[in-house]
Amino acid sequence: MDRHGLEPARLALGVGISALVGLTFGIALGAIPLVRAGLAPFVESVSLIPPMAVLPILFVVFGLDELSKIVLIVFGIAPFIVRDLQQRTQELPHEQIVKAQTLGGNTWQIVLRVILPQVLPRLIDSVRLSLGAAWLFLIAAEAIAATDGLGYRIFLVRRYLAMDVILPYVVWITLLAYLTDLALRLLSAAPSLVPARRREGPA
Amino acid sequence: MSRVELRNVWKEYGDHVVLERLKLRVEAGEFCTVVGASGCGKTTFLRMLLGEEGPTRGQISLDGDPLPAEPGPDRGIVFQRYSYFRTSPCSRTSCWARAARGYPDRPLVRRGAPPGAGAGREMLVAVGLEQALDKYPAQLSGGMQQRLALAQSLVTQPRILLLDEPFGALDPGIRADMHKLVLDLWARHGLTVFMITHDLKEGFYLGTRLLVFDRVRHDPHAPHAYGATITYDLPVGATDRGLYEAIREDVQKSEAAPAEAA
Repeated sequence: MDRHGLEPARLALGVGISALVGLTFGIALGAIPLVRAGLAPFVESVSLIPPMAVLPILFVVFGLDELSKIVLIVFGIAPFIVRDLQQRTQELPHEQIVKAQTLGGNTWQIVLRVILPQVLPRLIDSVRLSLGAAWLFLIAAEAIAATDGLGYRIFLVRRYLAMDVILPYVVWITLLAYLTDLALRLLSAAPSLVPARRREGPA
Repeated sequence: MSRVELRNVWKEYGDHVVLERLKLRVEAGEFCTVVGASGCGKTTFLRMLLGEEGPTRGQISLDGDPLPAEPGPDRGIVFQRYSYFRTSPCSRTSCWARAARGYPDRPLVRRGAPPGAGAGREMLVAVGLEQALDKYPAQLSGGMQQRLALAQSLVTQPRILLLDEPFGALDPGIRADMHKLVLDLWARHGLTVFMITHDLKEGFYLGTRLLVFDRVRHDPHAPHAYGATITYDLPVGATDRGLYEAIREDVQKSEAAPAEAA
């Protein structure tokens, strides 16, 4: 893989897995009291562990190559997304859940048809907000142990004070981050994907 | 056999007695309005009928059987707000119930007309939403949202319909329209209705029976030791001006009292 394709791939995998974990556990924790009672303290404790502090452990467990970097991103941002979506799910008006029950909906249907469509826009926002952190973890992991990648290169040429190499890399990373953010923003504004965002227009 | 029967029902939260000694028989087709000071347990009463809360003592039965401990399709509800799903257009929301029943294991099936779409559409037309079938709830006015909520709760053909101050947030003019609509639906579908209201006048002319909740026992040293109970159970239309005034004073008097206590 050429070095410009590496970053987005690592990042996309890490963020994608985090979003999936966040959505699944966030809704489960927010919607099902039994899950919340059992799992919430655990998620809270995990989210308080500084990800960079366990980076050496990740290197030992998952090896020095791709996997540990992706795991670091997931470890860093998934707990944030889980807790954010749990919060959003719990904030949904209780009346809606009761109403769905009186319409004959079971837990599965309520999750899929009442909660999910309303929480999905929040997932996109949540991912957008955690992208900065995802980049941070990726570059940090690359700076410490990698043989390729932008973070690796920046920290490699740092010792020669080679600003002419570092600055273009910074610009390149910023551009990638900006484009990702823009894509997510457009996605979250698309009315067909997220009907909950349809606001009142003239009747 | 009565549609709904409460046999000496109490509801307590710890030491706090909210409702006590509730005894009530409601026949099918009755329209009960429930009034009382705020904080006297009207909503708790409704939540017990809904199955969200169980009574601490006593039994509630629905058509002779114990009331299920969870909200279900045999009891419809309209809240003051949030009784609709903001991610679905009207036409889909009202057939939600039928679709949920038709596809118990395939909740992802949403394309095309779900089973019961016809009934849902009929109900929407019955409540006057034929112009708004494809609109999202956020695009509707408050009154139309409540019409949607009513249509939705009637699609399942519930055995009892519970209304929790459904028109509390509406303008007086629209409220009058909604009264007409509810009475019309009640007569046409033979519903059994419990409606909570703040508006005593509403309670006096809407429906067939008025239930007044109030605390009759007070202990100034233990304000939570006694709960509210049904103090008046009147057939609507058989009351005179004097009684109306008496109830109004009761409701307002005890409305001031808990405010001090709180």
